[in-house]
Amino acid sequence: MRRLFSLLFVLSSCVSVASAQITVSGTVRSTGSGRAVESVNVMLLDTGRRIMYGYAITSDKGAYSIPCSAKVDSLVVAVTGFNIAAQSRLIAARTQTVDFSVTFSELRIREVTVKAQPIERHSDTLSYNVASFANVTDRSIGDVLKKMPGIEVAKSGEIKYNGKSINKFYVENMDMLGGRYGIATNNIQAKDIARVEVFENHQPIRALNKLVSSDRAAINLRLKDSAKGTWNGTLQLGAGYKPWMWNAEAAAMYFGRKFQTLDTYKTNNSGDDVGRELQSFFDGSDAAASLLGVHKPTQPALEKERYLDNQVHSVSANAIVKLKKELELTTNASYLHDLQNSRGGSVTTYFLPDAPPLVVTEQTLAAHRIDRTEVDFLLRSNTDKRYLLEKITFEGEWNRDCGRVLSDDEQVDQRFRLPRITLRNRFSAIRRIGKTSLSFSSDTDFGSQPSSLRVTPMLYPEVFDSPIGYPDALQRLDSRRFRTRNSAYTSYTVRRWSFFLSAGFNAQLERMDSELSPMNADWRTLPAADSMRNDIRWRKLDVLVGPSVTYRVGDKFSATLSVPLDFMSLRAEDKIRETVVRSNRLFAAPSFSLQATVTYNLKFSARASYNELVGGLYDTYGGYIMTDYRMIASRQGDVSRNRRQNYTASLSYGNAIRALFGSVDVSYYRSRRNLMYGTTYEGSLSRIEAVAMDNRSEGYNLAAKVSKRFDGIATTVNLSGGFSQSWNEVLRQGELLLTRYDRATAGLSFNTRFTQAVRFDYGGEYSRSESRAGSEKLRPIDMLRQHAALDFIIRKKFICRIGGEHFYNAAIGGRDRNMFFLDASLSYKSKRVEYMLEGRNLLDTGTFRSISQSDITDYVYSYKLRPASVMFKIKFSLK
Amino acid sequence: MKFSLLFFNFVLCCVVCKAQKPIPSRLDPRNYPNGVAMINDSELVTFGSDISAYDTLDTARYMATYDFTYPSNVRLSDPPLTDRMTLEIGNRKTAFYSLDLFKDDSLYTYRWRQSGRAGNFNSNHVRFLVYGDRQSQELEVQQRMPMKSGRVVTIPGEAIPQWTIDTLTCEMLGYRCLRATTHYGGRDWTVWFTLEIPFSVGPWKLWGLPGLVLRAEEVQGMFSFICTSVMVAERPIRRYRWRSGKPIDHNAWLKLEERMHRSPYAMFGQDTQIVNIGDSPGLMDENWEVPYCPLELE
Repeated sequence: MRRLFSLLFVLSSCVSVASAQITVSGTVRSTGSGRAVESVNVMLLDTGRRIMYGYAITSDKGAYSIPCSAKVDSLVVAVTGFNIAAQSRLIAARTQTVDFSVTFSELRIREVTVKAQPIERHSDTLSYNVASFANVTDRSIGDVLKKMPGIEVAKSGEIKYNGKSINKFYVENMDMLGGRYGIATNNIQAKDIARVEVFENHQPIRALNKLVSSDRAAINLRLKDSAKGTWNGTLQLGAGYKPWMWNAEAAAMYFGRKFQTLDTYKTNNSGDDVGRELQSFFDGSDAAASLLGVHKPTQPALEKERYLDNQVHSVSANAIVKLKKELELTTNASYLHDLQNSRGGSVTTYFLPDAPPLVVTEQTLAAHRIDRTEVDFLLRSNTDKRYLLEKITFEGEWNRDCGRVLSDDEQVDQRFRLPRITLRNRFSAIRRIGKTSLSFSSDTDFGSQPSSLRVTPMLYPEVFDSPIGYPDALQRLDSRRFRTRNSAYTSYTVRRWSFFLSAGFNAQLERMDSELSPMNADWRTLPAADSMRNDIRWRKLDVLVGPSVTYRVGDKFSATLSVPLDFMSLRAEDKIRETVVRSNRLFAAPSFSLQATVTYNLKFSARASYNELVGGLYDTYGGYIMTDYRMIASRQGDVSRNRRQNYTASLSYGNAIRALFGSVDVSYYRSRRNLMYGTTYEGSLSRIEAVAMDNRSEGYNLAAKVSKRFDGIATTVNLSGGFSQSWNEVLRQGELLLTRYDRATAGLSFNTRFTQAVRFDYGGEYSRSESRAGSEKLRPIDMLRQHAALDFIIRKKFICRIGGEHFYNAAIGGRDRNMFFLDASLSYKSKRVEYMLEGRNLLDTGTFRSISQSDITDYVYSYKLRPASVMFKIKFSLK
Repeated sequence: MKFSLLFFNFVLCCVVCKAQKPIPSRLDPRNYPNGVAMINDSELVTFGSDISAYDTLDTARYMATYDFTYPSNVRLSDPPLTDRMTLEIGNRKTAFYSLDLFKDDSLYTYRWRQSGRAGNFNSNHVRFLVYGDRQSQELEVQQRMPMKSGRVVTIPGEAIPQWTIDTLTCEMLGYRCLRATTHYGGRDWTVWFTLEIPFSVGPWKLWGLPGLVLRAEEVQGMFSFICTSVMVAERPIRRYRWRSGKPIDHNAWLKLEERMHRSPYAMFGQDTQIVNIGDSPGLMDENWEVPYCPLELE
């Protein structure tokens, strides 16, 4: 019996093995003559004809044989060929002979010609064909970039690729503007650009290629031949009402092989924030922000054109010249004069432990006057073997702000002066010799900012205990800082391993004098009490030494482990209180990062790091400083230390063939601090004081984006979503509270073409945020923000646009829960001249109201918007 | 007066004698039988060739054009270069070649026939031509020799790839395409082909699938063939009567191609004066090397 079972088992195994692979064979002959037909395709397909299991091309005898291992019960055998009528037959999935008799028939193909693919990928370079995305409604290249899948352009002009900020912006491979690339995206005309290239994982320093990895991308604009080597420019003039408005812009540009320049002048009082494009998105000066300032209304989450009451003049001049091969000189100069008026109201509710909530109501007016200039000179040589950079920057800023607050029937006026001057020098040299590289870099800056804040009257005389006749207060704060950061490293590469050894020396010398004095109407002040004065000399020295090692497999994988050690020596001398704080510490800041190209289109990067941040001068001062008309702060105590762990992981997908892009980012942080800054409310006056108390905070963030282009209907769709949670400990009225903040977002945007003459853009974002303090849970806030625009294009010359915005905030009661805005424009374009008639805020929505939460604070605010207005513009183009 | 004229003549003679100082032989273009080739930094340029003499292999009934993108042979760090290629498909034969180089040859031939001299006519384009036999599925490659007019190396009997077809589909140029992969010539390729055009041909040597290949990408992204048009045609498929030595096999060609890039001066510098007009102008010498990133590694 056992033998019989064994025999049956062997037989069944043989049968099942035999049935695992079948062979379909046969011959293909001509119907009339019976002649064998060669070079005919014979295919085995599934019954739905979507999956091909195998195929063969007939031999000169018309024979074919196709092995197939598909586990299906039936198959389709199909015959196709040059000038042969296609045939197919449904057969059982078993080894058999299937002969075909074919007839000749002329093949008809659909003739197709494409001028260029919308998106192409060559290794790490993606190339977007601008003509595939642009239409007559687009003016600048920034308008077209927004439609390209995978690329985002923020309102500030900052460009992101797959959710990450770019690290360089080139025009014809030349970096003229550095971080101020908003000048290019807003002023270079879309019609002058042939292609936009994205360099993924771009290492801007060529000598560090395949040595130091980068997870950021760069953007390069490729010009049309007609825009190269010739001057181009635009001039726009505009006037409108209400109020009486002007808007004028002039731009001149030249892009040659060895010289490029882009110069602009812009002025308006129509709410266009042209100063925004002078902002650098990288390579910032790190100038310390001033502690002082007038109380301003909170700006609404709207386009600035809706609320900005301004009078701006901005000038920028930028040029780059190739002095010789691989040696470039770049100069950038800009000047901005702006006067921004704002008006709003707010109700702030502080939820205090074991006490009724404290409510502060304020009506605020502010005038912010900016005069700012910046001049850069940069010399750079960037070759495969050598890198040299020398950059000198001068920044000057002269701000004068005035403010008035009406609170509880009291009026407080404020005047703030901030002249700030910064001089900075950066030098970097890298030399690569075979498998070895040497690098030295130095960054030194000096800054001075003597600022003052006058408050009339001082609402809290108990702060001074001052005599009668001195109702005002004057806060002076002078700060001077010298800082130098120098580092050098050497690396050696052995096959897939690169070893680095770095050493560095950083020094920061800073002096801060401050004085809060009673003042009378004649600007005379009384000597300040010692508790209201600071005279602090701060010195921080760091000696850094660190090894790191990188393992790299071509461009597909790299992992880097770095363990820098920092010996820090800190000395803070308070001349007023005659105290000296010293701290000498050694700490490590290890990090581990990896980058992998999982498939041709899928990239993965992750990073884990630990570091310890030591507080600066403004975290350790003993005398009170009045930072706002109702806030005074003193931070005497230990030097603040923040030990922080960060973990991030990112998956990025970019498929040029399917025009499908996406990213998933996950991050988690955990930090421990030795100090807390506790807030005590005495009426509406807030006192901030440092308290030595270990505390921790942690949080995580999830974000995902998908972007897809449908060429057939000229549509780009973007989907995004995110969720974050954070836990913090805060000190209120001397009591420790654990707070939690949750936020979830979801967004959808698309631009599409209904017909050649009708286009539609839509964008919407929903968010829900929720705060908890201890066991108390504040009500969640649901917000929805949507905008839509419909363009009618008539004969490619007339463009009529109707647009609207909708805001919904569930936490606001009454009619203000939903807010609507309506805009319309009409333009006519000829070859060189464009006429535009624009109407903004046609529903004349007067005030924006919103509500927000932060830890244990509820904040309801309103802001006065620009009225309904009409503007007429004429734009001339040189070409 | 006479004395003055005499003195002036004497000075002029001195100047002329000074001007006629012998040029070093290396610098004298007359010492190079092939004349002068002007290159941009480092590249192997192709000289124009006469295309007036040819044999007609077949009549092309269909034609497809492709953009072929490949690494720059001036500097590997430069943006990749793109040539417009054409695939002519007849009942029996096919031809695949650079349309850009063909246009240059047309101009060269026109000038040559008009004036008997074409001048300095060289360009940097794809130098291979692939002739295929649709019935026997056999391929023959002709490689144009750089810096030599009308000279080719013939490599017959080239193998065609073995394909793996997967289940992914997409639409290109309005045709539904299937994806297939292969390891061929030492590189991994992913291609998209359409059953709606049932020719088992494709760009370069990417043959053997049951439909026309519309897009082919080398997996590292260094090379790609992207179809830009498909159309009906009626034109002769030509094979030009250029000088070819004894046909060589595939491996011998790979060695020769590597030598041309590693030691270009030894191969071409004796017959041709090679002048760099790029960023570092001057005459090329034994140290000259051309970036080498071949389409086929094996």
